Amino acid sequence: MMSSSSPSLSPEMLKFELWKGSVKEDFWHRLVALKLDVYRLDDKPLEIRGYFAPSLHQNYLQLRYESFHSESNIGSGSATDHGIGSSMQCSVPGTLYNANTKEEFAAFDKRTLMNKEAEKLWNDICSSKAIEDCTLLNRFFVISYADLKKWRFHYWFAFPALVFQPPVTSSGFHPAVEYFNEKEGADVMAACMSWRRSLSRDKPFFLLHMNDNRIDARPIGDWVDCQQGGKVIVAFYDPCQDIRYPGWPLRNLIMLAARHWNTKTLQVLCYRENKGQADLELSLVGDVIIPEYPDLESSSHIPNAVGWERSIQAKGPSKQGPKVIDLAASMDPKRLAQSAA
Amino acid sequence: MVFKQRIHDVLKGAVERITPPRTVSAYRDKGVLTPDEFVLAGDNLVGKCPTWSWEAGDPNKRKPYLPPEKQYLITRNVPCLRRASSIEADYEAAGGEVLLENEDDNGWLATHGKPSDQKMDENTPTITDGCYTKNRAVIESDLVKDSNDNDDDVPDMSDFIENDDATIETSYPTAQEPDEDNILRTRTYDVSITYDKYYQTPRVWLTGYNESREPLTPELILEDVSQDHARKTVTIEDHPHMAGKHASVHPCRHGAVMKKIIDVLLSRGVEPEVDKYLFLFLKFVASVIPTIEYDYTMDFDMGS
Repeated sequence: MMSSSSPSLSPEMLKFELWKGSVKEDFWHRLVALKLDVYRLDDKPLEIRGYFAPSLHQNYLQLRYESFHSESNIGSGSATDHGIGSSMQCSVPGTLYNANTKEEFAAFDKRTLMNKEAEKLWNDICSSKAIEDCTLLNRFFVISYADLKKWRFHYWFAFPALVFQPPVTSSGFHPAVEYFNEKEGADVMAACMSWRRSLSRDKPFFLLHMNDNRIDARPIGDWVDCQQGGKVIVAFYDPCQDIRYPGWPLRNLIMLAARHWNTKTLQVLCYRENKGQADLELSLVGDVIIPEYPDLESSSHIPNAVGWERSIQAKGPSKQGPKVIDLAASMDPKRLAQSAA
Repeated sequence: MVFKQRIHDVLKGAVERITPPRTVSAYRDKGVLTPDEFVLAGDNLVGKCPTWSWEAGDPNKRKPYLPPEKQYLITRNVPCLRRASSIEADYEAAGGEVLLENEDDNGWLATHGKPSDQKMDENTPTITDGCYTKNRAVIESDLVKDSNDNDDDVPDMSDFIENDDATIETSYPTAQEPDEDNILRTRTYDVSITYDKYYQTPRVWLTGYNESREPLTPELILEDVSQDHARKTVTIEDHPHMAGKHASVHPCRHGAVMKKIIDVLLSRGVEPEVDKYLFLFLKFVASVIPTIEYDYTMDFDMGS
């Protein structure tokens, strides 16, 4: 039922655009309050949430006040679900490793932290937990150091993605508008929008099942059912905006497919929006070719993970390194007194 | 001058504490809203424009006269492609026409262009002057920060390199940015609307991010405000629900301006339903922040 297939180019290694992180000022205000009132010198890792929308200009994974959702036991009132899922934003589970000193921050063992995340991801994939709750496929963690004397905050995001060995290939991703005919395009948009607007909005991975001229959005757990008839496209909320590459979340989804779905190819829709509406010019469609991965049969062989954020602030050619923000103007009591005087 | 502003803040806070919220509808007579009408208008905005949503915010800062899960409205990461300060010449030449997209109706334009600004200057000298001085202070403190800035305290982590062929090195804004990927990197804003109990009107707040999604200082945010309003109607204050300093369109004249807009609609025989209040309000706010492209689109019969 699809219109023409994409031009047959020889498959090349598929590349993914790395996610980017952004921290809203009120996140740091909240961290400082928690640090002073609750945690003090306790530097245990904190469960936090990041937020994104697959929308133009919203592609950064953002930390904000509500990110400390599960830690909101201080203060009055229940903080259940505040801000979660609102404004078509998806929440992503993550961990904050906040160091007490600059030295501890610099000494974080980045390889070990990443390996730990790879293990979590891999366990969730192998145990099928990630099929039931696909939000687990998008993960992030942040190492940080809050300098409360200078009101400077050092932080470095990481977006763990499992590495394919050998790599998956593709003959390229193309704007969805070139792929679907007019009716299919309209049906795909309608199916995606209803998925987005339903309570499933926090389910960033889903299937588009095309059967008998109908297109339905279904949970990824329905993969086997959908194979009974019709055609299936795997879709995900894509935070990337580049019309040549799929975004980062696709990596872990392909890993899940390779482990569970016994398929050599995967047709993928990178779902993207503009101004709150599905946008088929921004969204991409492409075929992913999955090589044999005998290693994946065993749960004990944990794939490597990568995904440390690149930053313009970072030194060196690799652009890998922490970012820093100075919030003295809005936090330092002395400065506040000065500007109010 | 700032002292006067502080006194005004204290007074406003005291009045808000001891007076009950408005309960009798007066949007047609005064252009103001009750909290219930604010919620009604907000529900309509959220329903019509999916980019807007209600937020509960910090439970400690909750206002009892609004539902807990509907404390304020927000639309996130709205692009702002150009600096309002840099297009001031075009803006001046074009007057309000560009902003309202309603070129053949001068009567409508005259109701909320220059005249209301001038009135504002005459009527509210305290706030105007106070905020100006306050902003000067912010500039000065920013300079202090820059001169103290040094890299010594930034931990050097350049020893760590992660290699992966399947990772696309995301391009970041640089001086000579290759624009091969056709992605426009731009400032973005979170635009939020709170209910101001003292003025009984909605109030708009701006949280800005630069091209790398790092927070903008209030001083840089003022570049995206119409220069007629920067430092006068747009002030830097504490957000009622969020931490940190935010730019806000001061609501002291909102009621009067909204009243004029409603009067124009009435004179055309259009009934200005209260649930459409925020659409009208946002169109008016667009004249203050002309380059921030938030969604206030709605087929609204202006009666022209």
